[in-house]
Amino acid sequence: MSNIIYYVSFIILGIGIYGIVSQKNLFKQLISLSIIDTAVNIFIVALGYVEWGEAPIYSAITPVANFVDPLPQALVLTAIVIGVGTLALGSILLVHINEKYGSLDPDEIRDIREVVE
Amino acid sequence: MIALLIAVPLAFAFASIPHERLGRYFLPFVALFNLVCLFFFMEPGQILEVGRWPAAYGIALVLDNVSYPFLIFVNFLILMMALSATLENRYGTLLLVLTAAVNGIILTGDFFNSFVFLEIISVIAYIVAAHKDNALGAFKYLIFGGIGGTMYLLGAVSVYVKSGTLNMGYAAFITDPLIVPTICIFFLITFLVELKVLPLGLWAPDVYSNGSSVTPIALGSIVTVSLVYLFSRIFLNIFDLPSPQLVGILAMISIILAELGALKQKSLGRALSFATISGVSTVVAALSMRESEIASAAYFYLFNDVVSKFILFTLFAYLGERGFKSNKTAGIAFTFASLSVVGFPMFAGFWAKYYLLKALFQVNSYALPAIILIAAVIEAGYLIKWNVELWYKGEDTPKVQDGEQDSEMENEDDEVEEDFIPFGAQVVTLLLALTLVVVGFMPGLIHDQTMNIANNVLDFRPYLDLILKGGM
Amino acid sequence: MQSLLLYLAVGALVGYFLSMINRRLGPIVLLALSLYGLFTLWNMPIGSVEGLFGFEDILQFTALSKYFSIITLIVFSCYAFFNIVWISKAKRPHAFSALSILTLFGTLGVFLTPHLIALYIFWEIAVVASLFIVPMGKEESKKATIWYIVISSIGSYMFLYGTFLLYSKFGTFNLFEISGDIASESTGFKWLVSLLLLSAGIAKSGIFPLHVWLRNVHGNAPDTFSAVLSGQLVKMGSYIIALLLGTFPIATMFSQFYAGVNIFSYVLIWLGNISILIGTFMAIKQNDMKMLMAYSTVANGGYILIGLALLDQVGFAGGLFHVINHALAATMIFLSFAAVVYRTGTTKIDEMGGLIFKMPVTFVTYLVGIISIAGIPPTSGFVSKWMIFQSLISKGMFVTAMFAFVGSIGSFLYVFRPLAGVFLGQLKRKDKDVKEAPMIMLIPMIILVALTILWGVFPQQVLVWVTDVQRQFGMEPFKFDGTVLYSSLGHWDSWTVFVMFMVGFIIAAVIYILMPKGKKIPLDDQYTSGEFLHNFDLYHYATKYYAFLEREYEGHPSFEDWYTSIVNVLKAIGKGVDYFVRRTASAYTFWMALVLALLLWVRW
Repeated sequence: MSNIIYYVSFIILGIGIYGIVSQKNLFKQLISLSIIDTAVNIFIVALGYVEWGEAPIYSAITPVANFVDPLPQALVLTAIVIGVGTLALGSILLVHINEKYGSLDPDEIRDIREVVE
Repeated sequence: MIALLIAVPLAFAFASIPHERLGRYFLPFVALFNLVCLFFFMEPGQILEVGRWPAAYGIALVLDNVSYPFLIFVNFLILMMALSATLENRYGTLLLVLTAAVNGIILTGDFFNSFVFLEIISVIAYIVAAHKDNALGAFKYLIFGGIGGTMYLLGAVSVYVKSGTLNMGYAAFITDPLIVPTICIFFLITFLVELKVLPLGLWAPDVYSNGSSVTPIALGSIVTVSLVYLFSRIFLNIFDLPSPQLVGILAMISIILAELGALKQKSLGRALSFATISGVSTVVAALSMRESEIASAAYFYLFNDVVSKFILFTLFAYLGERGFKSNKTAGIAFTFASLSVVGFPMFAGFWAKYYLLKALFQVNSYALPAIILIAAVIEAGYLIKWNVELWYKGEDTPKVQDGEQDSEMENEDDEVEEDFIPFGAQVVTLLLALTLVVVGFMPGLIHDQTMNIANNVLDFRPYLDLILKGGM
Repeated sequence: MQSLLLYLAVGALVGYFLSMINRRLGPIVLLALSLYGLFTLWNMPIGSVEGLFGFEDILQFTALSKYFSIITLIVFSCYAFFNIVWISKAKRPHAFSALSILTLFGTLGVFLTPHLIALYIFWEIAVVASLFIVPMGKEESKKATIWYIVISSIGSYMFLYGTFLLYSKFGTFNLFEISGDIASESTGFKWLVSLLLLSAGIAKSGIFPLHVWLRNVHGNAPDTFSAVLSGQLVKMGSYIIALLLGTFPIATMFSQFYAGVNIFSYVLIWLGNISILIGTFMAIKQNDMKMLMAYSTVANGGYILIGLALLDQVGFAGGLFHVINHALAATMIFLSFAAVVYRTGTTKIDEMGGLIFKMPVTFVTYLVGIISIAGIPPTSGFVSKWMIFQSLISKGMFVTAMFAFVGSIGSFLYVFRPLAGVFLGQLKRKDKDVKEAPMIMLIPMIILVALTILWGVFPQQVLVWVTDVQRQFGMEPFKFDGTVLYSSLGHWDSWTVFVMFMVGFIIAAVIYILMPKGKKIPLDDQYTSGEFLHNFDLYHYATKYYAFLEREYEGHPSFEDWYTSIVNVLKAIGKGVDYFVRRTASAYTFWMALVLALLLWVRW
C-alpha cells in the first residue's frame, strides 16, 4: 500500500522526461523540468515515511515523538525553492529568446540562426 | 575562521546590491582576502562544525590536505578573473556569490550542503552563460544542468536513507553492495554533465563560445576545478567508482570526439570549447584509474589545462579573431598557452603529459596514452592553424566572413574598439603565460603539490579522522 | 657542450633584441655562435660526458654526435653568412633570427643526448622553432605549416609512446642502457618499439609514407630557411634512424631474410626504394624550383635510409657519407635558388632563363651541387653513391640496386631542368638588369663548392668521422687507405680519378687556347639556331620540360590527396559531433537517459 506513492512518483517522473524529450516548445521543456523536480520531491518525502508516524510537529497530541522522518521534508523544502528559482530563471531566458528570435520553437529558431550566420 | 571564506563573499555580495557597479570592485579584494586568510591564517587539518552540532548531525566544513590546495587555486583564479574580465552591471554581485558557493562546495563535508552549493553555482552559471546575448545556449545548459542537479539530490537522499546521516565522512561506511553503485551512478550522471564528458557535455560549446571574457573562465576554469575536487572527493575518497572501465571508456571516446569536433570549427571560440571538453575528459579518464601517480598527473594536467584555457579564452574574448598585429605580447601569451595545451616542451603542458604517460605506462594501461597522443596530434593541427592565422592576419587576403560564425560575435566586433585589451587582462594573461613557462622549467613546484593531493585523496583515513575526531 | 647549449639558448633572446637595432645583427649572432660551436665540437674528444641543468650525465658526445653536429654547424654557418644580406628581404627579421638560433639549439641538443626524454624535448624545441619560421614564406606556406606540424607530431608522438613502452619495461630512459636488453624481448614488442621510435625519423626525413609535407613546406618556406630545412632538419631524422639502427642490435634482433639482411632492415629498404621512386618522379614534374628540390630531398632520404639499413661495412658508411653530401648539396642548391630569387623575385622556372652570364658564381654553385647529387666524380656525391651501390650489389639486392640507379639517373634529369630553365636559354626582358648576388652571399656558396670538391678528392676526413661512428656501434669499419677506398668488389683511388679529371680538363683547356678561337655567339643563338628574331617571343624551352616522360605516369595516385581525404573523414566526424551539439535540450535528455541506461545495464 505504501508503495503506491513511489509508483506515482515514477509516473510523474516519466511524464516529465517524456515531456523534455518530445516537446517542441522550449517553454514546455522548462515545465517538464519542473515536473521532474516535483516528482523527485514527492519521492524524497515518501522515503521519509515511517509507518504510523505523525507529522513532525511537537504538540499536545504527540507526547511521544512518533514522527515521520523530518529530514527529507527539510531537504524537499530547499529543493522546492531551488526549483522555483530555476523555473524563474528559465522563464527569463525564454523571454530573451523570444525577443531575439520571435519564436519558442527550436526548429524555427535554428532556421533563423542559420540565416543569420 | 574557515567559514569566513564563505561568509565574507556573501556579505559583500549583499552589500553590493544597492549600487550596480560596486560588486566589480569588491571582487578582487574579496578574492585577495580569501587568499590571505588561506595562506596565513589557516592550516590544513581543520574542521569547523557549524552551530557546534557534531558532524553526524550538522554541517561540517573540512579543510584538509586535499581541499586546501584546491581552495588556493580557485581563489587565485577568481582573483585573476576579477582583474582581467570585463564585468558589466551586477555581474560583480553574481561573481561574489559564485565565490562564496565555490568555496563552500570545496569546504563542505555534507552532501546536502554540497547540493545546495551546487545548485547555487548552477543558477549563477546559467546567468553567466547568458552573457553576450546567449540565452539559447544558457537555456540548453539550464535544462541539462537541472536534470543533473536532480540526480545529485537523489544521490544525496539515498545516502541519507542508507546511512542515516548526510555527512560525507559517515557515508563512507555504507557497505551494501547493491546500493552503493546506485548512489554512485546518480552522482556520476551529475558529474558527467558538469564535467562536460560527451555525450552529456554537449551544452559546453554553445555556452563557452559566446565571446565573453567572464563565461568561459568562470565556468570553464573555476567551476570545473571545484567540481573536479568534488568528483575526487566522492569517487576517490569516499566511494568506489562503479565500473571505472566504463567511465574511462566514455571519457576516452569523449576526448577523441571533442578533438574531432574542434577540427571542423571555423570559429575559434567553439574550437576552444571543444578543446576544454577534451582536456577535462582527460582528467576524468585519468582520475577514474584510482592510482595515486596517475591522479597526481591528472591534477597537474588540470592545472595546465585551466591556466592555458584562461589565457586563450580571455584573449579570444578581447581580440575576437582579429589577429595579433598590434598586440605582440598578447600573441606571445596566446602562443605559449596553445603550445602548453598541446604539450610542447618547455611548457607546463609537456610535464603534465609526461607525468601522465609515465604513470599510465607503469600500470600497463596502453589505450589511454595512445588516445591522449592521438588527441595531441589533432590538437596540434588546429591550434597551430589558429596561431598561424592569427599571427599573419591581414597580411594578404581580406578576412573571409564565414557562415558558421555565431551572430553574437559579429555584434561584439562592432561594439569593442579595434584591438583593445584592457590593461588588467594584458597583465593577467602575461603573468599566467609566464607561470606556464616557469612551471615548464621547474615542474616540481606543482608536481609536489599534486602528489600530496593525490596521496591524500586516495587514502580515506585522514579525512575520516578529521571528521570523526580520531575515533568512532 | 653545456656552455654551447646555454650560449645558444641565451643567444636566441640576444639575437632577437639585437636585430631590433639592426636586422643584420641577428644573422651575425647566429654566425658567431655556429662558428664557436664548430670550433668547440671539432676539438671535443669523443665520449665526453657532461651534465645539463643539474641533470647528471645527460649529455654524451658520441662519434655520431660529432659527425652530425659538424654537418649541422657547417650548414648553419653558411646559412647565417648568407642571411646577413638576405635578411633585408625577410618578412619578420627579428623573429626569424631568434627562431633560427633556437632551431640550432634544439638540433644540437638532439645530437648530444642519449636520454630519450631529453632528446624528445630538444627535438620538439627544434620543431616548434622551425614551425614558426615556415609561415614567413610565401602565401601557401601557412597551410604547409599545418602539414608540417601534424606529420611531425605523428612521428614525435609515436616516438614518445615507444619511449614510454621501453621505460615501463626497462625502467630507464637512456638509450644506450636499453640496447643490450632489448634482444630478449618478444618479437612483437621488438617490432613495435623499433617502428615507433623510428617513425620520428621517418617523418622528419621525409620517407614514404610520411613524405607529403616536404614539398609544400620546403617549397614555400622562406628561401634561405629551405636550405636549413632540407640540408639540416631532415638530417635530424637521419640521425635518429642511424642512432636506433646502430644501437639496437637490429642485425640479431630480427630474423634473417635475404642475403644476410634481416627482415626489419628489408622493410626499411623497401620504404627507401619507394621514397626514391616517388621523389624522383614527382621531382621531374615540378615547375617550381624549390618544390623540385624538396622532392629531391625525399629521394635522397631514401638513399640514406637504404644505406643505413644495410648495416654492413660499406653500406652503412655509404649512408652516413650521403648525409653530409646531401646536406652540402641541398644547402648549395637552395642558397643559389635564394640568390636567384633575391635578384629576380620568382621561383617559377619557366619565368626565368639565361641567367648564366648575369649570375655566373651562382650558376657554378648550382652546377657543382647537381653534379654532387647526381653522383659524378670528382664531387663527394660520387663517393657515397659508389659505396651504396657497392654494398647493394655485393649483397645481390638487384631490385633495390635498380631503384637506386633509376633514382640516380632520374636525379640528373630533374636537376638539369632548373639548370637549363633558369641559367641557360633565353634571357627574359625583365631580367636584363639582373646583377650577380652580393659578395657576402657568394662567399658561403663558394665555401660549400670548395668543400664538396675537397671531400670528393680527399674523402679521408669524412671517412675518419664515418668509421668512428661505425666503430662506436661495433660494426666493422669501412676500409680506406689515404685516398684509396676498398670494398669487397674492388677499390678505387679518388686522387687518381681527380688527376684524370684534371688531365682531361687541362687537355681541353690547351685545345681551347691553342686552336683558333671559335666565334663568340650571343646567348640568343642557343635557341634560335642563328635566325634573326623580329619580336621578342618566348622561345625558351622550359614549360612542361619533361612532358614526354610525365605522360607515362600521368594518372598516378597522389599521396597528398590520400592524406587530405583522411583529414576530411575526420572533419566529417567532427561535423557530426557538432551536429549533436547544436540540437536542443530534448535531445540531450535522450542521450542522458541512454547513458544512464548504459551505466545501469553494465552494472547489472
